[in-house]
Amino acid sequence: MPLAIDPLIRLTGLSKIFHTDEVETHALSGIDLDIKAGEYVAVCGPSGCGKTTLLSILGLLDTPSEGSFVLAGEPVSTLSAAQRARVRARAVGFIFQAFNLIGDLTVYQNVELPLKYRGMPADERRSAVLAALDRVGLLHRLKHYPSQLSGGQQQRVAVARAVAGRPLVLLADEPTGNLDSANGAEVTALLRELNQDGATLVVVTHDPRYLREARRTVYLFDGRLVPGAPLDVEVA
Amino acid sequence: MNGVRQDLRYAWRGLRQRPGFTLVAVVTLALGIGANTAIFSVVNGVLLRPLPYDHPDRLAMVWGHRTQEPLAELSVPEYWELGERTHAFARVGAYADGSATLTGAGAPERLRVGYMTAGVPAVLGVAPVVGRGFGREEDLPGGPAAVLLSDALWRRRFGADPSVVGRALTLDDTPLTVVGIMPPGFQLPDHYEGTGMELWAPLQLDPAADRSDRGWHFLDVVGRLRNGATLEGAAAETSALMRGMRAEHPTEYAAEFDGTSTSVIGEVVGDVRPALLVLLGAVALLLLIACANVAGLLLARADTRQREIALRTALGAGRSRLVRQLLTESVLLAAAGGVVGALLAVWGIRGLVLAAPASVPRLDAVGIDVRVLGFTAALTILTGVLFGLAPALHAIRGDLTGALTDGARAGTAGGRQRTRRLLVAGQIAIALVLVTGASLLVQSFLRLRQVDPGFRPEHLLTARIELSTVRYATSDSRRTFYRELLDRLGRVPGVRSAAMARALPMTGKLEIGDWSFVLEGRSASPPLPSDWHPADWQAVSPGYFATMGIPILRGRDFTADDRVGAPGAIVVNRTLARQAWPGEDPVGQRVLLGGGSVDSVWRTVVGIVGDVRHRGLSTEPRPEMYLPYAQFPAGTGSVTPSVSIVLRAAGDPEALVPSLAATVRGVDPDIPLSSVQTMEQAMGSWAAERRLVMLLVTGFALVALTLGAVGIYGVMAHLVGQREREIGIRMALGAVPDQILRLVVSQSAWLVAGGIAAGTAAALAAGRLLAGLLFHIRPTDPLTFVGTALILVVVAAAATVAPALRAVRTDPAHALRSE
Ligand SMILES: Nc1ncnc2c1ncn2[C@@H]1O[C@H](COP(=O)(O)OP(=O)(O)OP(=O)(O)O)[C@@H](O)[C@H]1O
Ligand SMILES: [Mg+2]
Repeated sequence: MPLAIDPLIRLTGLSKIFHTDEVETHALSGIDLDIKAGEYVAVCGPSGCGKTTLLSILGLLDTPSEGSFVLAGEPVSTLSAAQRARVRARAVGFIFQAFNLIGDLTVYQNVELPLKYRGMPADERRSAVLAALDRVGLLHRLKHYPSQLSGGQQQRVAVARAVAGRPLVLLADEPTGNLDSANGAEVTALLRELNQDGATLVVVTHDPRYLREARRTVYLFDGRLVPGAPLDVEVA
Repeated sequence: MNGVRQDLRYAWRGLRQRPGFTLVAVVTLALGIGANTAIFSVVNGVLLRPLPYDHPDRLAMVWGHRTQEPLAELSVPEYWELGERTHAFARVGAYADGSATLTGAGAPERLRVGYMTAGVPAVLGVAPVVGRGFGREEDLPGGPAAVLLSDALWRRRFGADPSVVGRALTLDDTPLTVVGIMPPGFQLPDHYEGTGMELWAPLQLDPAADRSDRGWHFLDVVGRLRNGATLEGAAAETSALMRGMRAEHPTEYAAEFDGTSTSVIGEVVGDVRPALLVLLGAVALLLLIACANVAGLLLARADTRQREIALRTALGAGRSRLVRQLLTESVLLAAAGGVVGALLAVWGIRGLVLAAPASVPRLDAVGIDVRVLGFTAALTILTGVLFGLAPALHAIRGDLTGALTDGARAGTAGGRQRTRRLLVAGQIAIALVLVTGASLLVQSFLRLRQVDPGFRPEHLLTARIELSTVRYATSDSRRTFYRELLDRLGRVPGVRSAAMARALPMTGKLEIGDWSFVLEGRSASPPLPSDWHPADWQAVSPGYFATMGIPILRGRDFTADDRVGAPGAIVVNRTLARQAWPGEDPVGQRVLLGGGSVDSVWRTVVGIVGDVRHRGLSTEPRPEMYLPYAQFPAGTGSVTPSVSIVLRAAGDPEALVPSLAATVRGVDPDIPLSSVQTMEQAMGSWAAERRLVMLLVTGFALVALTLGAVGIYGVMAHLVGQREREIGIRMALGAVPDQILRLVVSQSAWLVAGGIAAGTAAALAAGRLLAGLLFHIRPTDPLTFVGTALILVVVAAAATVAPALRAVRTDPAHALRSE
């Protein structure tokens, strides 16, 4: 079980500045955010407000320019690239808008990949992969390649890949953005089930349905959290 | 037709739009095509262009055969009996080579002279272009003195004046009448090396010669096969003839004496053929690598053109039309490469002909002719199709609808990537073959240079001297001349010592011939064939060993006291001492040379000297005996009128050239000096052919290695570029930098491992071709193979570093930001 007392994620005074050709972009500024284990948080806001940037910092793909990030009681904002990769493999599961399955690998191999990077023994890997694929209902497609699957199926494989290693937190960036409504609903239902089973979810979305799914919505505007915004409320 | 024009215009525009790609492709192809054209033009001139004889394939050389000398020249009786007793030949002729001094008009000049029987031109099917050939009378001993001029001498010395025919020339102080001019480029078989013969005189063999005197083998014999006769038949008949002679004259021949016939074409070009074929193979491999490189470039380009092609297909372009268009582009590219390559070749051929040693025959026939141009054109088109086909087929085969949608991005490039990887593995394999070959040749060359020649070549100056046999008719007059000359040379400032020999090692003609002797008290009377000990023979002056730096192992050098009338002396080399007197001390033993009256005294062994590699560093020393020139021959023979002079200089031997010339002039102003060169120069030109082949193959190997490295770099960089996103995803999924590095490096490693495996197999197979050019190293030398594989691993690793680092530095945040 995740730690009950402390928040799973604590961001304090966090900001991110991109430097490009003499232009400074303040993608995130002074973010203070706590996320508790088992929460389902939706992040929304207009395009370019910093949602993806926030998610890539939460997923340790990127480092903050200022401020601290404590994940499960451990400060992670100053780790080296290799150390971050190790934390990522253990603690974070990603679901991307563009599915991002690897075309040369089968469904099974795609799901297995993060477990390999984590150094899990082969027999454990196998049962974890099969359990995850069972969960998304794709056990019969183990040997298929991504190009042989529909978009919805590909995204379900991506979900299976994200959850197979039982990460502390699942991060999803517009997971239904490339799907039609029927497939989108399927994936949405899947994420809900995962949360009900105890997974912590941070989902970036424009999709109003998520806002309803999520227990809490965080509103970003121009790189800042909008305090007391009507949507940043606990839905009990 | 209109379609072709349109294709051409489209292709031209495509190439101009990407000048960088076009430049790299054209330069790569030009290197490959240029090298092929240059080497092919040499092969064409030397090997393929027909010899200037009538039906040269019907001509055969006739040889005796001994274990020591598999292709031995014939003696006069052997030649007569060949004509009388065989049926395979319609006609036969004999010739020999020598030299003579032309005096009269202008400075005295030493010329190479071919001596031939009157029938030789008819055998070869060649007639003089001006005048006539030798008549029957002129070919008899004591007949009218006639001479045929070469086209080159005729132009050089007589301004191509036809009226020279009928005029008299003075050759070796003898007047001769010019009877005709031979066609340009004419030479007798085996005389194509270097400048060749400049004039020809009748051989004047005596039909009534003593048929029992068979020891003097100096005739090259050529025959024209009778209609219906084959070379094999002629060889068998010659063999039977020679074995028959051995049975008739058991004391004249060793037990294994035999005979054979070989093709004249092989005789002319046989020595250089393996080297030329190796070079041709090397440039062919180079071209393959160049093709693979350009195909790789085109495939990389095809990735970016995929959308364009899919679009064209969607708009209704047929597949065959697309292939044609893409092929037009590659053939256009090849044509540009071909033109630049041909220009490179013109320049390269000039360099090759200049760099090629004189031992390569028929160099004057090397150049660009219709056949070479045809070869280059065919090669160019073939090249274009070869490197264009794979990309063209891939372009139309892939999933065309996929190219128009985004989702399946990762999957579409798969086939092309596989082809590119195969191409690179192939390049590595070919580069390995070339590098292995180059490495074997370099090692052979280095080992050859480390071989001890048996003397100390530094500080030696050598020259050839030929006495007029008219003015120096007697042995006494020759001895006096030599003694006087050596005496004066010894006193020239800067000369440590001066000596002379019949033939110096590794200079000029290497054949010094062997002569057999019997041991006193150890042979039957008359001697049995097994009693004869053959050895190469030398005639030298006192001080020769010291001047050359040949160690005297036992006994003494010749002295001025070893003169006519004094007891006969002989010095043997170590190999001969071991062979003739195993386990005994030869010094003090006596021997008698065979051949009857020429040298008829018992000679006492006075010394043993170290072995000298007379015939070149790559030939093991043979048994050799040294006779003092002053008492040789000690019978009815005469002292040789042509000798080599050798000076040991205190300093730079080249600085002695003027004083050498002045000293010779001081003794006799009409004696020409020829082949003046330092011993190191002489040895250098002896190894020049090997050196050239080694340098060329090494150059090709370096180009191949560079192209291979560029190929690996290109594929890996392209792969990493294509997979940047995938690498980002993998990082997002928790891959640490090491794992990404391993991913890229393992891809490269598989390519390299596959290439090395295939290349090693191919190099092992190709090694047999190389065997004849190697020295003291086997074509399968394991160390060379391991070393070459390592070189390729290092080069591949270097080519992979940049793409791998780029992969590791991929920003994993890319994974989240699609498009
Ligand atoms: N690598 C980068 N270099 C420079 N600027 C960047 C980089 N990544 C993001 N930005 C900038 O940071 C800001 C926030 O970008 P981000 O991708 O987080 O927005 P977003 O909220 O995800 O928008 P969208 O809804 O369109 O995906 C933008 O102004 C963007 O241009
Ligand atoms: Mg975004």
